[in-house]
Amino acid sequence: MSAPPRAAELGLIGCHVCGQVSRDPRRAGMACPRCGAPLHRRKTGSIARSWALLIAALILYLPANLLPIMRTVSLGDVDDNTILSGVVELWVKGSPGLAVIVFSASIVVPMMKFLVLGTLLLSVQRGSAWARQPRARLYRLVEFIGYWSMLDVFVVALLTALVQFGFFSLVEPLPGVVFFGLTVVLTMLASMSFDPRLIWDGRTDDE
Amino acid sequence: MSDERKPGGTEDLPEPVVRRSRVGISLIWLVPVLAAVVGLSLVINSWMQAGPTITITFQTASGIDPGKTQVKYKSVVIGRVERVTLAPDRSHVEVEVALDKRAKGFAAADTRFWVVRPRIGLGGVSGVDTLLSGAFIGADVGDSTEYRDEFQGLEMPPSVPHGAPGKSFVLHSGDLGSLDIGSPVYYRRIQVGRVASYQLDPDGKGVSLQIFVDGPNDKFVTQSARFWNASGVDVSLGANGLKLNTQSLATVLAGGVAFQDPPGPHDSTPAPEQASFTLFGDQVAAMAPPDGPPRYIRMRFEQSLRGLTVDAPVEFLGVNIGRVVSINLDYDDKRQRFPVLVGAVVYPQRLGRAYDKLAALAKANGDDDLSQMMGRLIEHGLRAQARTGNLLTGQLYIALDFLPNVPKVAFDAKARPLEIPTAPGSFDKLQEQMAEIINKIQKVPFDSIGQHLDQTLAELGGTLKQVNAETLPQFRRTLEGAQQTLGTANSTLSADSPLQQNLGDTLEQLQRMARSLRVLTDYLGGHPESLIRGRRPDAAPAAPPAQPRETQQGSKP
Amino acid sequence: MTITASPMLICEHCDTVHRRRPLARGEVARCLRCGAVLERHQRFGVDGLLALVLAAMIVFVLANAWPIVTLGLNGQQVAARLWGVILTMWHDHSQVVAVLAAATLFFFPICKLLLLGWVLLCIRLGRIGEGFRRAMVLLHYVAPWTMSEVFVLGALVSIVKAHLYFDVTAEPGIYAYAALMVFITLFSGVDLHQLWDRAAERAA
Repeated sequence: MSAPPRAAELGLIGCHVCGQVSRDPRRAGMACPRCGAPLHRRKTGSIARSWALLIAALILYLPANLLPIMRTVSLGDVDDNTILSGVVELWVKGSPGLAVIVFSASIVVPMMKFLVLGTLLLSVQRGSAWARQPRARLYRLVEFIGYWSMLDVFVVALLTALVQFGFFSLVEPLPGVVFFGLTVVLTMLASMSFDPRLIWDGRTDDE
Repeated sequence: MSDERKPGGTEDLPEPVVRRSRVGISLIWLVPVLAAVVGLSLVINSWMQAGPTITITFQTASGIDPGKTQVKYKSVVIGRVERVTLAPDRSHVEVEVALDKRAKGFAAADTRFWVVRPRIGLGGVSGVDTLLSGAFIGADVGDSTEYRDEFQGLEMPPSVPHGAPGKSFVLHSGDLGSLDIGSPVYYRRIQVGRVASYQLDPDGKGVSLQIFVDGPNDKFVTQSARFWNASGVDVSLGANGLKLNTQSLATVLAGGVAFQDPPGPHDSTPAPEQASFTLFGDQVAAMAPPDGPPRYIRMRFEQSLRGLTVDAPVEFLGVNIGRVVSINLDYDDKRQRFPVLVGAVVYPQRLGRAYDKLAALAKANGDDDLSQMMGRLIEHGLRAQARTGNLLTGQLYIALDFLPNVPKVAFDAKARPLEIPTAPGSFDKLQEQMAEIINKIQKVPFDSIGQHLDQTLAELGGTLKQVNAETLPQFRRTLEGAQQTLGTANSTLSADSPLQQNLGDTLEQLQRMARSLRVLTDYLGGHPESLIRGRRPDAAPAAPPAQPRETQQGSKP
Repeated sequence: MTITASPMLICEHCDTVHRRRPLARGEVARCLRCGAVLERHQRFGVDGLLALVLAAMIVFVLANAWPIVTLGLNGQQVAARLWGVILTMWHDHSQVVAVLAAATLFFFPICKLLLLGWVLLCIRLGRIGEGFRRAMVLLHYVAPWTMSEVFVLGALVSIVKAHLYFDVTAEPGIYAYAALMVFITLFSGVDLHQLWDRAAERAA
């Protein structure tokens, strides 16, 4: 069986917004006849944007992990928590299942996003035909679980709002959580900017 | 190029892979499923850790905060108040308590709960720790195997914790006095227990108190122990002076119960649990020999009994044998009089040996209840009298006494209650005597005495007038004469008068004479022989001073 | 409108062109080349979706009106609502987080619900105009930014964490959020492309 035909080969173009299939007039400034969104074969500047966002996210990711995200004040006793120490605390205090969830959401997912997106970008830039299907699958996974990392941000926000017992107990957010939230948003934007079609572009001979 | 291909090319386009996914579950549901799992595990966890939820009813929820107030047993937290609601009829509050899983046993049917608040009582301050931490609910676990989820909370902490060593006893008393739950029980002035509860007897004629005596002191409660109400101050004025007697300062205000064995030989085996005792009003009453069964007597007085009150003592030959229980007016139609009927209860056993002997005698005569014996005593002059016990207040008491020369009365030995004939009391006699004295005073002829006195006074007036008119001028003249005499005497005695000068000369001569006398005695001291032999010639000048003295003396008067 | 439901499908992930084929209940069409999901059978019709949107809106109001969790310490109680959380973060020098939370937990979800409701209403009434088109485009961009389901998970983690030191009471808000999570997950399964097709059918 021959390789399934691609839109470009058939002179077709699919709208990114509404999926409308239309003929590709091969002109600039096309708009989708159905939804009016601009039509383009590939996302414009996809690789550059992805790189920029990814690198920005990576830079923010360092303080996000190193700085404490939450301060617990209990009867004058101050305790600063980083993301990792929060996971450890959950594990130690008898919620290993939850610790695993938080760990994967806050640490595994962002790390995976950096690795996967970095790999994808590099391989796409090199036009590599290596393991296209797994790479495509990885990309879909990254896009799907991307926003999970907000979990820790929400936990900190909720605890801050809830633990307001003045002198007895108080939780306040620390800059780490801001960096972390920004990291999550930037990685999400990075993965959205990336155009997975690029994985399949380049040399098709090794099919 | 694709224009031509496209319409026709649709057929040779590949069809997508179509798979039947299982019940449409896609990866999208991962988060909800995860959340559901976590939420479920939370619910299961809290359900696993949750103990029974019980409802305790209290009169008030004061100090109870939902979510904060804890339930403690021996200061260990065993639960927490979840909710406080008003009962549907608004008469009490219902406190919902979530017990810990480990504290499941506290839902036993006989567990008691009460609110521990800071209590400042007369017996001391309790629950001070709650001042800071807020009130908490105390629990006292029972040992019932039956479980409940509704409890009636106690308004006061139970005075006896469950399973505490010691014994409970029941005391019977006429009234509660100043006792309360928690009032101390003293043995030799050491607190050994407390009043656990009290209630009215079913017939309403007395009060039963449950007391709890802590171990090991409970063994001092013997079969013959006497309990008395140690409340208040016992001030007695006796031969030893004023005596103030109280168990402790706290009992003065809060009341208390004391017990002790009676003096003398007695049964000293420890009393069993729930043994019943009488609570006497004071120590003296408690320590007195047992009164034995009471007897009711009735007396009919033909006089006013102002000052006689219920509880006034009834004395026999000065021994208190009972007390007045009723005073009623009667009406005697025949004589148009209002006699006073006085009912009294007497305890014959208080007569001690006399009673024993009398009882033995009576028994020998086949007289069971001493009524015939009483008849004989009445024959011998036994009468009841209302006597004045206190002249100041006029209080009366009933005295049973043998009176001489009393008219004989009929005595009905069968009558119940026994009716003791009465004699006019000392109070009546006093009245009579007073009347007599007044009569005598009235017989004194105050009028003639007054007239005589008047006459005498008039005479006295005349005499005085005479004295004024005649005697006084004479008296005055006499005084003047006397004054003149005194003036003469005065001038005679003045410093420059001739009498004075003569006197000075005379004294001078006397001085000289004394000097010659001294010379003579000196000479005699040196020459005692001169007394015998005569004066020596050289001693001649000693004599002349004597001569002028004699002459002077002779010439002086 | 001349554009009708296209007989072709182009894979969004790899640009492969497929022939469209009707899907039976529970069937999923995947790309031949990359395996990405092309199309799902839509379980709910327009009316069904509209009802769901309405229900989700009610639940959304409830979820925001009720406190989510109440913490108790020594009888002191602190309850948190979504907007309380956002404002606390704003005042606690974490405005970025506050904005993120407000956007992903309130504005985007409510936009998504409103737009979806609007779009469905348009389809139902057959009024496919400029408004519909704009709403559809907006919906496409808003869709990935709703994070209510992550928030529910975060609330659960918070409860577990707070449970160690405080008395935690789950308030109705959390149940409303759980329901909202289910609705939002349902809506994320809604294929906008197919809605376009339906609109086209309706307009035709």
